[in-house]
Amino acid sequence: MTPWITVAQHLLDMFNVLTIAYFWTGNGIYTVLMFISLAFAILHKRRAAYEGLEDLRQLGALPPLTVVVPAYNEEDSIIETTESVRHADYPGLRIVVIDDGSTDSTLARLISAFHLTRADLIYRASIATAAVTAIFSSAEFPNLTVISKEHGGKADALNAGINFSRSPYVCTLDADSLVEPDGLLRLMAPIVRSTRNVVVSSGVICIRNGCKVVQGRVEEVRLPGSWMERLQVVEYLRSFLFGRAGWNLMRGTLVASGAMLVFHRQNAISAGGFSASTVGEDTELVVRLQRDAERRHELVKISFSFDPVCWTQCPASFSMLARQRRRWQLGLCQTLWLNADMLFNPKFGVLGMCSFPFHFYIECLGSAVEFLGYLAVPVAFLLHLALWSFYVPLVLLSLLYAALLSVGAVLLEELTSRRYPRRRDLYLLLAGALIDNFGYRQLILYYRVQGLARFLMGFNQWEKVTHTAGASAA
Amino acid sequence: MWLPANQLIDAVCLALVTVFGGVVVLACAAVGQRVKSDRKTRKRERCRIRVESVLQGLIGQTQDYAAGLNLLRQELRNRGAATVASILVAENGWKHGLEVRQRLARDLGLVQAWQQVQPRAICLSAQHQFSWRNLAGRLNLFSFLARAKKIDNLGRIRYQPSWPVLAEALDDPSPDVREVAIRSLAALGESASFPCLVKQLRVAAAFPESAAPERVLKAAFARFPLRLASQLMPLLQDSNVRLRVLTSQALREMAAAAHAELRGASGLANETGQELTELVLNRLPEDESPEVRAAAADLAGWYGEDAKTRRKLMRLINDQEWFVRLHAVRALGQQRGAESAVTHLLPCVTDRNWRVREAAVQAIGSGQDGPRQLLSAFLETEDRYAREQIMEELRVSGRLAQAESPPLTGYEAKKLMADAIADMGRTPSARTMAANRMAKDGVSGGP
Repeated sequence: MTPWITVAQHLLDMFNVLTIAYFWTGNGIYTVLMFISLAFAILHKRRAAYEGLEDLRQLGALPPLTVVVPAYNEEDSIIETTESVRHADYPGLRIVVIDDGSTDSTLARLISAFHLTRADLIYRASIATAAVTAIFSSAEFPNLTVISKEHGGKADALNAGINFSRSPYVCTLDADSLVEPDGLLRLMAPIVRSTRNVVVSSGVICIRNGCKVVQGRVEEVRLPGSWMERLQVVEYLRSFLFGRAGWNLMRGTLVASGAMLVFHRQNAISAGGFSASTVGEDTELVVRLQRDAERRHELVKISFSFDPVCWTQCPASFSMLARQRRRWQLGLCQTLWLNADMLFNPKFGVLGMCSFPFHFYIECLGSAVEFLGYLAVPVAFLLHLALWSFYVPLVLLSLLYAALLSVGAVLLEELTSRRYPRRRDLYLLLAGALIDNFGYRQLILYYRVQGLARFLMGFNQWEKVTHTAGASAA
Repeated sequence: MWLPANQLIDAVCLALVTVFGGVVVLACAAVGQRVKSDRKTRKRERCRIRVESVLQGLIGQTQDYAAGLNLLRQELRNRGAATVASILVAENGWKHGLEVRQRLARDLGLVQAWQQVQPRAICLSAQHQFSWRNLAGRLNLFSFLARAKKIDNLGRIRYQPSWPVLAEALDDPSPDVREVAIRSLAALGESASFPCLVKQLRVAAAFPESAAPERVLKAAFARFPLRLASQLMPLLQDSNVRLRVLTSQALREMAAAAHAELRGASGLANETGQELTELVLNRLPEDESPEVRAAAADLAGWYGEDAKTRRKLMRLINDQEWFVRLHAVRALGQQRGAESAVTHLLPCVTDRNWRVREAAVQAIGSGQDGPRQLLSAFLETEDRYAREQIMEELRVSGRLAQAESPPLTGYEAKKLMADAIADMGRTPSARTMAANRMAKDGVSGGP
C-alpha cells in the first residue's frame, strides 16, 4: 500500500468517526425530543378539555395586543392576510400593516380595500428605522393602521410596527400567512396564565398550500397537490411538533418562527428591536431577549403552543425553496455567530449547554459534515478504501432512522391535532415521511450548505420568496 | 475501528432491520389511531345527536322529564358519559336551559361524580402487582387532568351548592386545578366563596411563582357583588406593597363591573360603606408606594365623582412618577359629567411623558365638548408635541369636522387656527382643511 493511500485511509477513518458521531448525536437528540414531545402532546390534548380560552376572554383577563404585518411586494396576499387578522377572535386587537417601500400595488390595494385615508398620526421612533413616509387609517376599520415607509428590510419594517404600537404585547405576522381564528387567544393564553414574564410566545405553523381558503380563513384542510409541497408539510410537522416543541419543553428554545410570534413590546424595545444585521431576525431576537433577561437576572419564560396558530405558504418551486432554505441557514449561522459566547455557557442553562451546541454542531456545521459524507462515500468506493457491505447498510441506516423520525412526527400529529381529516391525506403524509429522506433531504442539504457558504463569505442579503397566485388554491 | 469489520457489518444490519421495524410500527400506530379515532368520532356523533334531541325536548318541554332522564341514563350505560357531560356543560349552555341542565346533571349523578375531586394519595402498596402500565396511575401523575375537568364542569353547570368543593380545590397541588377552580368560582359568583378568593390574593402576593395567575385571579373578582368589598379592607392596609397593589386592582375590577349597574360612583360608595370609601379615596392615593398610588388613582376614578375625589386625583396628576400621573389622568377622564375634570386635565396635555399627554388628550376628546376644548388647547399652547397629540386625537376619533366649528371670532383667531393646523399638518389634507375653513368663514383678508 502506497503512503498516500495509507494517509487517505486514516483520513477516511477519522471522517467516518465524525460522521457516525454526527449521525448518532443528531438523531439521538431528535429521538429524545420526539419522546418528550409525544408525552407532552398527549398531556396537552387532555388539558385542552378545560383550557377555557373563552373564559379568559369573558373574564377580561387578556391584555391589549397589536398585530404587526410587514409587507414588501405582497400585493397578492396582503388583503387576505389583513382580513384574516381582522376576523381573529381577540378583544382589543389593533392591526398595523407596514408597507416596506413596496414597488408593486401593495399599498394601493390596502388603501382601496379598507378605504384608507392619509392621517397625521404620531410615530415615535423608539427604535431607529428607515423614514416613514405616510400613515393611513380608516374610519370604517378603526383598529387598522397602515404605515408606508422607505424600504429597509423585514427587520426594519417590524421595528416600525413596534414603534407605532401602543399595546404591551406585539404579534408579528408574515404577509403571506393567515391567522387561525383562535390563534391569537392561544398565543396569549400562556402569557396570561404564567406567573413569570413570558417574553416570547409562539406556536405551530401549518402549510396552507392545497387548503381551501375563504375570506382569509382556512375552511378545509388538505394536503397540497405536488410532492415537493407535501414533503415540506412533513418537514414542518417534524420541525414544529418535536423539534421546537421538544426544545421548548426543555427550556432551550433557540429558534421561533417569525411567521407568527408574540413578544413583550417593552422587552423588545429594551433589547434594541429586530436586528437588520441578520436575515434570521426572528431567531436572533428570541436569543437576544433571553440574553437580556439573563443580564437583568430575571427568570423569564418562552411559551410554545402545540396548537396551530397560523397558516403559511410554502414555496412551490425549486428556485423559491432554494432561496428560503439558504436564507434560513444563513440566518441561523448569523445568529449563532452573533451569540457565540452562549456556547456551553452554563449561565444560560439548557439553552447554553444543550440547545445552542446542538444547533451549532448539528444544524449549522452538521450540514457540511453530512454533505461531505455524501461526497466521501463514492470517493472511498472509487479508491477501494471502503467496504460496500459496510457503507451501504450504514447510509441506509441513517436515512431510515431519519424516516423513523418523520413517521414519528406524523404519528404525533395524528395523536394531537389531526389536522388532515381525509384518510387519504394521512397515507400521503406517511408516504412522504418514508420517502423524504431519499432525494428531498439531500436537496435541502445542498441548499443549507449553500447558506453556510454564504455565511462564510459574509453574505447578508435577504432572498425574497414569492408565491404564485394559485399556490394556496385548493 | 472498534470492532472487527464483519461484526460491525452485522451490527449495522441488525440496527437497520430494527429501525425498519420501528418505522413499520409507528406507521401502523398512526393508521390505527386514525381508524380508532374515526370510529370513536362516529359513535360520539350519533350519541350527541340523540342526547341533544332529548335535551332540546326537555328544555322546550315537549318531552316528559322522567322519560328523557331514562334515555340519558341509557346513554351513560352505553359509555356515553363523556358526551352527555360535554353537552350538558356546553359552551354558553348556561344561557339556554340552565335549570334543566343542572337538574339533569344532578339526577344523572354527574354532579356528585364531579364533586369527588380530592387528590388521591400516592398508592405504592405491595398488595397490588406491579406493572408499568398502571405506574403512572398509581403515582397519580396525571390525576390532575381529571380533577381539573371535573372542576371545570362544576363551573360550567353553575351549580351553586358545589362552591365548597371549588374553594377546596384552590389548595390543590396542581396549578391547573387551582386556575380552573378560580374560573369556576367566578362563574358561580357565590358570595360565600369570596373569602377564599381573598385568601388567594394573599397567596399571590406572598408566593407569586407558585400562586394562581394574577390576571385570572383579579378578573375573577369582577363576578362578585361590590358589597363584599369590605372584606378587602385588611389587605388594603397590609404592610406588603404587592398585596396592596393586587387588592386595589381586584377592587377596581369589582368597581368597574358594578359601576353601570349601580348607576354611578355615588352608588358604589353606598354599596361598599363609608370606611372602605374613605380608605380608597383618602389613604391609598397617599400611599408611599407609587404602584399603590397608581392603582388607587385607577380605583378612585370609578369610586368618586365629587370635588373631593377630583382634588385627590389632581394631586396625583402632579405625581413625580409618570405611571401614577397616567392612571390619574385616565381616572379623571372617566368623570365625564364633571366639567371641572376637563379643566384639570388641560395642563396634562403638555406633560413631559408622551403616554400622559396621549391619555390626557384622549380623555378630553372623549367628552361631549371635547373637540372644542382640544382645539382651544391647541391654539393656546406653544408646545409642539401637545399640538401633535391633539391633531392625532382629532384625526383618530373622526372629530376633525366637529372641531372645525370653534368658538373663535375675528380674523386673528381664525387665521391663527388655520395657520396652526397647516403648520402641524404634514399632509395636504390638513392644509386643504385649513384653507377650506378660512374660505368658508370668509376670512380672505385682514380686518
